Amino acid sequence: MLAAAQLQLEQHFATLTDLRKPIGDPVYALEHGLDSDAIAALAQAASTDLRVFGARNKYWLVWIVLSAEAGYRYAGEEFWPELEVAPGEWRNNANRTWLRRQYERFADRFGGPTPVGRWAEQFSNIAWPIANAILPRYLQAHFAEHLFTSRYALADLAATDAHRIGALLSDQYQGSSSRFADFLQQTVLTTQIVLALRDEDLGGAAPRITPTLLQRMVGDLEQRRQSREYLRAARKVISTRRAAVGASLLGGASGTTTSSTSDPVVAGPRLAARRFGDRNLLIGLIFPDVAAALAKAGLPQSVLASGQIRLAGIESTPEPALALLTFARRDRELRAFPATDRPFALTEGLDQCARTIVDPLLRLQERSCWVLRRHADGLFREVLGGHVRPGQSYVILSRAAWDDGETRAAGLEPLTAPASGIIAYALDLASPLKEAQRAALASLSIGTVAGTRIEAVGLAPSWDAPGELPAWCASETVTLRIEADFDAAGFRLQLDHSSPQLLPATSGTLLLAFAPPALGAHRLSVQALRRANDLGSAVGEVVPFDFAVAAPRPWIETMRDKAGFRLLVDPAGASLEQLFAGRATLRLFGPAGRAALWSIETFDATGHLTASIPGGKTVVGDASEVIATMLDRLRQAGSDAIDMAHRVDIVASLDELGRQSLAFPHRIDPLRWHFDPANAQVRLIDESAHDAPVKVRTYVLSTPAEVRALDYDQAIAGIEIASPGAMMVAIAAGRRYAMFVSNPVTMLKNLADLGVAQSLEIAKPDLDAVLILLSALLRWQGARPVGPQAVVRKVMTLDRIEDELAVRLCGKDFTNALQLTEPTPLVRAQSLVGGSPGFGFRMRTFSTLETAAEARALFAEIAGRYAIEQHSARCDMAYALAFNPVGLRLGSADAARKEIADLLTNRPLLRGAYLARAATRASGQAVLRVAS
Amino acid sequence: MRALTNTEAVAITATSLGQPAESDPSALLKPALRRALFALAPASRADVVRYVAEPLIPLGLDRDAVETALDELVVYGDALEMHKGPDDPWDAPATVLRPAPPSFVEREDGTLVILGVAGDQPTALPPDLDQRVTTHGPARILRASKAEHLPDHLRALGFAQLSEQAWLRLPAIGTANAHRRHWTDALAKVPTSQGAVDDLEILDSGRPVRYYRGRWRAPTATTSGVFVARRPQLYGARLWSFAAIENGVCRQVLDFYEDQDRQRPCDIAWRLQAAIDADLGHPQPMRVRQVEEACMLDFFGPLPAFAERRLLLAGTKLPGTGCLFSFAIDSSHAAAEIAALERSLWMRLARDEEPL
Repeated sequence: MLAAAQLQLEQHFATLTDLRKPIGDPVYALEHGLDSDAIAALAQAASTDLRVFGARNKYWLVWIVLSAEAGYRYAGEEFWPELEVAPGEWRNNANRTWLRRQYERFADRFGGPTPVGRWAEQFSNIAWPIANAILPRYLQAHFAEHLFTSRYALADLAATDAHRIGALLSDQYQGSSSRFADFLQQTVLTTQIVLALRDEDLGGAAPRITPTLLQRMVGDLEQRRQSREYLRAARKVISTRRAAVGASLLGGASGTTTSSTSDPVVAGPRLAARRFGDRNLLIGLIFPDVAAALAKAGLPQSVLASGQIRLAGIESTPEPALALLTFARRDRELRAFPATDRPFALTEGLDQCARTIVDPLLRLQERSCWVLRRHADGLFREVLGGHVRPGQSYVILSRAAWDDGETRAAGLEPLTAPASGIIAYALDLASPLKEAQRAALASLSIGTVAGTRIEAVGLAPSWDAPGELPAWCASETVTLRIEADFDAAGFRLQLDHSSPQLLPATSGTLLLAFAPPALGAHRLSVQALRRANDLGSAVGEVVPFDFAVAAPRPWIETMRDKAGFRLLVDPAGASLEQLFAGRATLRLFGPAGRAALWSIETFDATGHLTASIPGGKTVVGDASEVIATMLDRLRQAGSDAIDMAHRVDIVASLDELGRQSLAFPHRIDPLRWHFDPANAQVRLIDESAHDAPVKVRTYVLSTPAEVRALDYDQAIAGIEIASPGAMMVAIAAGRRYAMFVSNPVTMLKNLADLGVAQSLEIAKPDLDAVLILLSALLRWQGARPVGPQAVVRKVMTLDRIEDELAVRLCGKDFTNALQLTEPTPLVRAQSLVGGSPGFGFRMRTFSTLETAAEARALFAEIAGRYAIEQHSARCDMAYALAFNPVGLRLGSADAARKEIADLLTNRPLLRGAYLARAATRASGQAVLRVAS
Repeated sequence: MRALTNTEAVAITATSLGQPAESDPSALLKPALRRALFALAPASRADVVRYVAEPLIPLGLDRDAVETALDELVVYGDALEMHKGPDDPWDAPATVLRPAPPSFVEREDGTLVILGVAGDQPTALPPDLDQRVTTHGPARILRASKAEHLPDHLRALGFAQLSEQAWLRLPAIGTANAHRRHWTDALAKVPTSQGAVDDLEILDSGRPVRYYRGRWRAPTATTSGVFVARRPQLYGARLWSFAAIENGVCRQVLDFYEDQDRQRPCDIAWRLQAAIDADLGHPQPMRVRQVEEACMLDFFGPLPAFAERRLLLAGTKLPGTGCLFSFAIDSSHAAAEIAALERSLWMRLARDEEPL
């Protein structure tokens, strides 16, 4: 049976190769053409053969097909059990390596795909069958959703630059599944999938993926309602060929776009304003793109790092000059109008080169008056030409008040401007414009332009696109109303570089629509015609209308920014573990006094919700401790679900304001531990391709620095974790993969249950003990905590190791003196530092600085000045040991031994560093007490 | 590129907004407003109205219709009125409008009231569900049976489910007299004003309750008493207030602001007026008519948002005939809804033949 199947597969794949090779498309192992019954029978036969003879080359294609099927079924947890008929039959690493070699052979002989990207490097064995499974089922939901999100950009690209589809999918992915992000690095594969989905109905002679397989994948994708809807909506857009313009042809239009580095000149600042009520006005400023200006001058953005800016009206609160980069093309309030020839922002501390570039961009262009036109979003923006057009609304700003008679004749209405040093007027121009008003405006140096006006009709554009071009969504048809201030029988219209078109007007007006152009910037050029369809009768200037077409964005992301409340983690980017350990906090901003409902949601590898754990309520404005207490309750309630999840979301809901969530994905390593709380067993999952054997170690919770070796096979089979718990470590290719399992005898009911007797006694000299403790600290820090109270117990263990490290480095008397329970803790510790008394005093009064680098430099400077230590590297190490020992990176074992040995000869330096740390913490706590 | 007639422009705009091409122009208003809320938020009411009205006016729609439609979006919860937040842009007004996120309320019969704005897209629903949505006045209703488990599916799509209680935000129930006294006492504590309040308009409780617009007037030299009132402010729309007037001069004025139940100032004012009318012995009427299977409730004055929302759970809002507006309610729910209005707004049933 196996021989016959091998022969059949040889012929099948050879035929496919003949079809695909000429066009350069790969052949996938999953395209075997066998039905599910045949696959099941083959799996049984192959399994028996494997157990008797081992993996045999003569049936290599059978195993290729079976493992590709396993790759397709793979649920994101473990690959090898998917391939096994009898448990453990693919546990042998030599067999796994053999299978990879067969896939390399398949790629050579039949043009099978070669997995690429960081995932393929890490999971170098299982990456092959999974890449040959095209789109494993567990990634299908992610794929459907991403396809839907990117559908318009894909439709454009498929029409112009199809081979970049995979790159686009990879670039645009913003989701939280690292597995899917890794999968998207197979850009050739994802391009093939998208094109196959698009062309399914075209029935080409050499389809990219065999139709039966594509049908099977689509069928599986559509099994879930959500994925089905995403896929259908995406295919509808992608299959509709859009009026796309290739990138090379867009050059002309994009000259007006956002591509700031391609513009010959970086535009200066522009005024903005918004009206309130009848007479009130706020004035703002649209900042210039300083980053683009620096790039053109060949200067790095870091030239701003040393400087500050002071904005007009708020000079007393300087801001870092780097803020100019984030202000680019954004508007901000102008509290005071700058005096003539004065900048609106003063720079300080920049070098001459940077000032030459930046300073001119921080000045308004001086004018007799500034003309600002109202745009559809209600914001008035400066008209650089300073002219006005009939039928539009304006704000006019002038440094001096004009004569009442003149302003009346010009139709200007005075406004109340809050910025000092400026007079503001409103101007609503009727169409057509009367000659007297035109003349009055001219006498105030306000030019009028009669010509062709282009306005949105039906739907106004938005201004969300960068570069401030009016933008329509790709799902909308752009409709415009074109009108001339003089008799026009028609218009000449040209979109980008397409051929000009002549369209007739009705009573001087044309309503116009055009099919959705490609995403990006476009220019419509319009010129009025005296006689319809007569190019020779063109009159007036050619009016350019620059606009953009933007892809719709997933509403879950965009509505988050529009919601009336916000959920943040502080510090940004903190992990879930830091949050649970109290080393990061949640902050909720929103309407004060409103109640927020909290929950934790967990997701599996496919991205589907596995559990929703409701939590308590807090009120917006509650102290972070209240939220932390609620979070702790949630963590306890959802402990098991959190441990098993591929992603954990913390969700806050405020009734009609909706929900805000923070996503915390778990990284999946090729070598990882799995804990089964039901039988308190931990098991090693090995999906790596290691040449050297994997080492396995354990550190029990009661003796956290004491290592014990374990057998690899035993770890793969499963090891029971005794109470109160242990850390398991697997080491391969110089990397450690660790998990800490907390396994209390009884359910923890109160804080007292957390306490675990731990021994860190090391019957060795200080040097050896310090090296052991440092090593333990790094291991415990990197371990993923699972089980009841694991996070708290891990933090507790880390603290105890740090305490013991301090004892070994500084001596027991000194660390006892540092305890805040002492009557005058720091004073007594100062007396025990040793060396110059001045050094001890400076350490006790050590101040908190802006950055750790500055503080470290200050510590070294003081140590040098008081002749404690002249070697800055030694000072740095002493500082790091005291302030952040888990961040310390020592070199080789020999180098580390020598460095620590050197350091232990200078105890005053070490004690000084620990005293400085205690001083900064004490001052931090004092600040918190004052604040509360 | 092609030239369009007005009718074609309406059809194209409707399609862009996710509506059938043959839609009536007025059907464009609410989708266009939802789009505007997303594009501009946080934004002033005036900016939202202008953004929608200016491109639609050439197609035959007017600004008043846009304003009315926006009011309805606020009442039903598609648009949220909020105070300016600390992170809002420099040019956001003190009271801003924001789009509500996509959410739904499940009615007793399994149908769902769809609320909120789907970012820059016309709907957050997948096409097959969107096709099943029907618009009833201001509400979007998704007909569904319990067996479909649509709430689970919508939650998976990212919708938030609102409980009836959270959506309705019903106020505490009490007597009309107690409610009136609560506000009269609060007004009495406001310091007496020496200066005149310009452009004050009062809702005259002495005028017929069946003609809401006709009850508004400026105070005269003989006007004395306490009145629900409106007055202009420096920024934004006119304030809703409670005013004590003596011989035509406003002595005390208490402005209404959103309360803890998130009732809007106008809702607070309308409920207070209902209490005043009831306490004066002429409670606000509602007329009941039987039209085929449905019970038609006619109203002669605006209802606070909580009352409109509650009625929407049981029925459908319709334009008024001989009244301000009506609700068609399944007869089996009519008694409960009438009782609720009697309890919360102290209304009474009027007979058809009662004079205006």
